[in-house]
Formats: sequence, C-alpha cells, structure tokens
Amino acid sequence: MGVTADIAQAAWVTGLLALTTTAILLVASPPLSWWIARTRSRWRAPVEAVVALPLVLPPTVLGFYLLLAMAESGPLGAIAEAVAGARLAFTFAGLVIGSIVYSLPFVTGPLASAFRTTDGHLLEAAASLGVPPATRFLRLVLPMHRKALVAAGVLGFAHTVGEFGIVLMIGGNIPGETRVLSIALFDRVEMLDYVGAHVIAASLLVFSLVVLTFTYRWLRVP
Amino acid sequence: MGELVRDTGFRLRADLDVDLDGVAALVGASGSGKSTLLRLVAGFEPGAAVTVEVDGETWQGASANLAAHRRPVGTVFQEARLFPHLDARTNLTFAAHAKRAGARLGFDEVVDFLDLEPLLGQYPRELSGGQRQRVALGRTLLSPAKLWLFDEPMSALDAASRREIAPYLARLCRRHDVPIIYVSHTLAEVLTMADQVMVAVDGEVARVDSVGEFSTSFTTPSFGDEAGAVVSCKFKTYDPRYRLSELAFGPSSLFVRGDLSSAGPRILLHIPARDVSLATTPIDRLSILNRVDGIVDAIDDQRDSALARIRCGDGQFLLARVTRRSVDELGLAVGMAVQALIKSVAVRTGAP
Amino acid sequence: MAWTSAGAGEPLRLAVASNFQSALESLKADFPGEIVATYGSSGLLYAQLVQGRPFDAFLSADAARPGSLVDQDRAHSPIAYARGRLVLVVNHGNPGMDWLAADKRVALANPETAPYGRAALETLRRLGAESKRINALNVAQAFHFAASGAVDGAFAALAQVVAQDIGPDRYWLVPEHLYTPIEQVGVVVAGPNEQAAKEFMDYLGSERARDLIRKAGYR
Repeated sequence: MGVTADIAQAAWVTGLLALTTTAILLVASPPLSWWIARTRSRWRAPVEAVVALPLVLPPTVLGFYLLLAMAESGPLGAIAEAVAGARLAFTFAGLVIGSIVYSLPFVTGPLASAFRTTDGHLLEAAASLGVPPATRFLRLVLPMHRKALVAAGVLGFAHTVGEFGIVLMIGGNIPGETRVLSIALFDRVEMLDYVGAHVIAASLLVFSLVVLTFTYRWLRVP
Repeated sequence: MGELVRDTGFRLRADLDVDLDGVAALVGASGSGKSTLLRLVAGFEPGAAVTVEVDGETWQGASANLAAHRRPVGTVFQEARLFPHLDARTNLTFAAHAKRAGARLGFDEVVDFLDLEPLLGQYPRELSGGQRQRVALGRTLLSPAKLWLFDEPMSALDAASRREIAPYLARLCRRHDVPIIYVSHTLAEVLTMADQVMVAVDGEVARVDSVGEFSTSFTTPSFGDEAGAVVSCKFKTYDPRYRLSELAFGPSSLFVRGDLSSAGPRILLHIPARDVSLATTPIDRLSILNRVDGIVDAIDDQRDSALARIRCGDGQFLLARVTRRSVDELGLAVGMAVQALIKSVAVRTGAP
Repeated sequence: MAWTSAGAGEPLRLAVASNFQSALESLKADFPGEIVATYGSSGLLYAQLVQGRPFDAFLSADAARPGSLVDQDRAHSPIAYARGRLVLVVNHGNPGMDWLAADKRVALANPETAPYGRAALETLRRLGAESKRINALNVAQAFHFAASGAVDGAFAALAQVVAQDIGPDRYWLVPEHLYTPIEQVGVVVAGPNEQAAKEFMDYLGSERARDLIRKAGYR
C-alpha cells in the first residue's frame, strides 16, 4: 500500500473511531453528569474520581489494564465472548471501548459543570405541571445546556482523535481497523519517512486548531 | 397536617382541616410560613418530616412521599419561571408531557381567557413581566390538577404589570374551576379574590374565616388604607331604565350598575372603608344611592383616622373610615345608630 | 587482556535494540568497564542518533541501519554481534506449523520497522498461514500481547523466551530456512569516546562474550 493510501486509511479509521466514541459518549455522559451534578450520595466523590482518572493517569496505564480486561480471561473479554461471541482486544470495538474510557472525563466534566448551573426553580415549575423527571431532563435540562453539549462533544471528538497511548496498548496497529493517525505517525518516524510524518503531524495540528477555534468562537455567540 | 422542624429552628404547625372550595387566601406576616406551607403541599420539600394529607390521601408522611409531579397540584410562583428556550406556545403546552390525573382546561379556552394569542410566538425574554406571569398562569391552567397554589403571583411585578394581570386573576378566581390556595400579603388582593381566609401567625394557621368575617375583623393585621368590607347580597331586580340592579343586603337595598340577574344566587360586594361615610341623622336628598342603616359595633382609633365597624341588618358588617375629628363632632360611640353612605361598590364574585 | 578504559570515569553509552536486553545485562556484569544502556526499537534509536543524541556505540537489531550510519560517516567498525532466532510463543495448544494454520490471532513486531516482525511476516507468507496478524510496536510488545492473554500467540525472539524461562512446550523455534537471517550488527559511533567503544566491540567479538550471547538465545 502506498504512503498516501495508508495515511488516508488511518485518517478514515481515526475519524470513524472519534465519531463513534463521541456519539456513544453524548448518549451516556449526560445522565452520568446530571447525577454527579445533583446527587448528594456519598458515592459521588468516588464515581467522580473514577471518571477523572484518565485526566491524571498515563494512557499507557489505562491501556495496560484494558488489555488485560479485554483478554479472553479478562472480565470485558469474557462478556464480549459470552454476549457477542466476539473478541475485543485489537479490534475496532475494543478501541471504541478504550476511547470511551479515555475521553469520558472530557465530556462528563464540562457537562457536570454546566448542569450545576441549572436553575432549580425551572425544574420545580416543570414538576408542578406534572412532568416526570426523565422528561424534565430531556426537554429542559438538555436543551438549556445545548452549548455545553456541543462543546463537550467537540472536546471528546478532538481528544479521541489525539489518542495515542491507549491505542498503542490495545490497538494492534491493524491497517483499516485499528491503525489510527497517531500510530501511523509513530510508524512513519520509525521508518524514517519524515515527509509522511510531517503530513500526518501537520494535519492533526491544523485540525485541532481549527476545531477548537470554531468551538470557542461558537460558544461566544449569544 | 403535621409539624415541620427545619434546621434553622423554624417551626411550622398547620393542623389544618379546611374544606377547600373556591379561593382560600393564606395571609400572614412574612416569615409566618405561608410559602413553606405551599411548598410542602406542592411536594418541593421531600426531605421534610411532615405529614401532608389531601382528600384523605397521604402525599407525604413517615412511609410515603408522593413526588411533586404526581401530586395533582399546579403552582403559580412569584416569578413566572417560564422555560427560557421555549416560546410562549411551547411553554403553555409543556404540561402535555404531564403524567398524572386531573382536569385541565382546553388550550383555546385558556388562550382566549388570558388574551395570550398575540404572545404565542414570543420567547420569555421578549415579554414584559406582566405578560410573562400571564403565560405562566396559562401554563398552570393547562396542567392536570385538582388544586392550584398561587404563591403571591403579583408580588414580584411592578405596579403597571400588577394592574395588567389583576383583572385576569380576579376573573380566574371567580371561575371556580379548581380550588385555589392563594398566598398574599395584600389586603386588596385578598378582598377581591378570596372566599375563605386562612391566617398564619408564627408558623401556625391560627384561624379560617369567611372573607366577610375576615374583612371586618379588627384582629386582622391592619392593612391601612386598603381596609374594606366584603358583604354578601341577593339579587332582587334589574331596572333597565337606569341600568341598575337592586340587591338585598339584609333589610336594606344596594344598587349596583349593570345587570346582575345571571350572577348567581349570592353576590359578593367589596366595599372599601374609605368610600363609606357615616351620618347620625337620616339624610333625605343626596346623590348617594346606597344608604344602609346600622349600629356602631366598634371603633378602632388609628394614627390619623379611625375605622368604624357598623353592624347592619342581618348581622353583616361594613367598615367606614372617618377622621378622628368626625368621631368627636358626631359623638360616635359603640351602640349608636348611624346611616352608612356608600360611594362605591365593586361586585366581586358569584360564589356558591 | 588489558582494558584501558576501565576506571576511566566516563561510562560507555550504548544504544541497544530491545531484544538484546537480557543478553546485554549479562555482558554488562562480565565487562570490566561501566556501561549505561538505552534500550529501544532500532528505528527509534537510529532516529535519535541521527538527531545528535550522544551514544558511543549502537547495537542494532538489523544490518541496514548501522550500514546507513557508516555510509553517512557517523559510525564505523561494524560487527555482526548476534544472529537472532525467531520463535512462536503460544498460550494454548502445540506450537508449530499446524498451530499456525488454524484461525489464530498472532502478534508480531511491526514488519515495516522491526527485523523480527519482518522475519515473522516472511515465515507466515512462506507457510501460507492465514492467521490474523496483530502488529505490535516491537518484539517486546508482541511478547507482552501474548503474555497478557489478549492474543493466542506471538512471534518473539528466542532471547525473550530464554529470559522469561518459558518451557519448550510453549514455543516453537522457527526453522531458519523460513526467514532471512536476522543479522544484528553493531557499530562504533564517531565521537570522543571512540576508543572505549571500539574496545567494547572487540570484547563482543571475543569467545567469552559470544558464549554469553549464545546462552542468551542467539547464534
């Protein structure tokens, strides 16, 4: 395979991975963030800490344990085997799971901060109309925080695109399935293909810059 | 209802057993627990150790806590609390997502009743304070409920907005769709809206009066210039020549503008004390139509005037505001026969 | 034999391909001079050398990169210090050609950058094995993938198997006719410490050192 095709394929895998991860996070994170923002449970601090772990841990630590968990004898691997008869390690699905863990705090954190500012009076008003909590969440809380949702989604997406350590540990560098841009870049450097490395590195740099610029500008618009 | 003990040491006792019918005003000085009582009924204090029983059903107690959205109670708050991201129409129809039983009014009826048509496409930030509260009112009317709680719905508004919304509130209170508990600290509001009055003192509902009893009771906290009596009359005849209705007020008659023949068997009139003058001898020729004979029942000397309570024919009272000089010159004293000259009468309600 | 650099103060800085780690540890204990070794993939170490990171000698896992350094006059005195032996380590079953034929997932070092990966790929192609290939960064990671249980087996260096004390029933020594020999070449890097580096390379060629290298799993 030529260099260009290899990079294009890695870009495709990267985009697909980031989109899938972001889509799943945008469904799973809001309820979790809402719980974190509103609960008085003593479990809040431990749950918050677990969610925030990827912020402080080297991704390779997460990758190391994820690989063990996704092995046939590991808990995740056993579940995947039992439920879908499929394997997780070194597959796209496994990479998605790793990315979800890795990018979770980047989506959950900003959302929880935004949810904390929710005007409780409006929720009371909705309750007084007879509207149940789930509907209040879907029809009031989420639309009122749509900017925070978009910002969290963009952060999650961009962060997944930039993922390296976890993919390195659980990806297996399989072209078309788990070879993402950051890994392809690493390969190019090892192969002394500095032109290819430049193409990938500069693209990632410009992409991140553009995405963040547009997001920050959009957030300013009233 | 039981007892609420808050962290602050504030205690609310409300061993209430009120037959709610029409509008029950809840009045009392600030800090007397009026709003807390409403929040308890509405279900906004789920952690409070109280017993809330309504219609024989326990909503809150040692073993039960009915969530706010399941209680058939609609609340109108001091602030409109409209949903900022939805236009007026969607705010109004938001209760379509409600999951509870209860009667609700039709959309067109509510829009018509509150004149909301021109506001429907607008967002809360584009509406004035009074318009916002009108939409909020409509939103509550469209939610399924067996009881409405109005928590000082006009207190956060400026005078102009209050004038805008007061007629709608008054008309709503007269409709008697659903019983209403109406928290207020304005006597005028109580006298124009309420059928019964619950008086909260130091976190305790001290008594429940009919609005007539309440309006002329001197134990009522002084409301100054707004004092006035609410009296009950019966329709007698309508004279189309002068367009005047004659109402029976005990043995006397009161004349009120307009045809009240279809206003129901019992008509409540609001008679402000400042519009009642007293005469010690009957006056024959006078432009004032409404003259009622009575006996001075009590005189309350206030700083620069006095409030006289007059017992009329069938035991109902009127209030008259007179200067202290007049008290002295006329020699007004309890037990004296007087004639009350009534300059203005406002028809209030056709309560059952 | 006299080691002039012994006790001279300056430790010898070696860039060493990671597959040679266990062998070098025993050589370090035997060699009288002080040695500071940096382990990594040959590609990465090569890149660092070219970028000017100071190393006195480079023990690569291949012949091409040292050759390239010699061509650039950055290094000299190449010596084939070891010939790597490819093994297939498996988690279950009998390691061998038949094992490969089944639908197995096998980790190997990146064939485009790592000599053992290249050799593993050649082997798979020669055998026409349809196993699913998982690319690891290097031979050490391929070995880790297998050890973690995430793959069914891995192509690794015999040196790793020896160092990890893995029993003969768990690995298959791949016949050398199945892949191009893995010649591991070392060079002396041009610089102030050339003399000491040259002495170490001479030591590598000594019978005493070759014995240690063989014991570690090389030919």
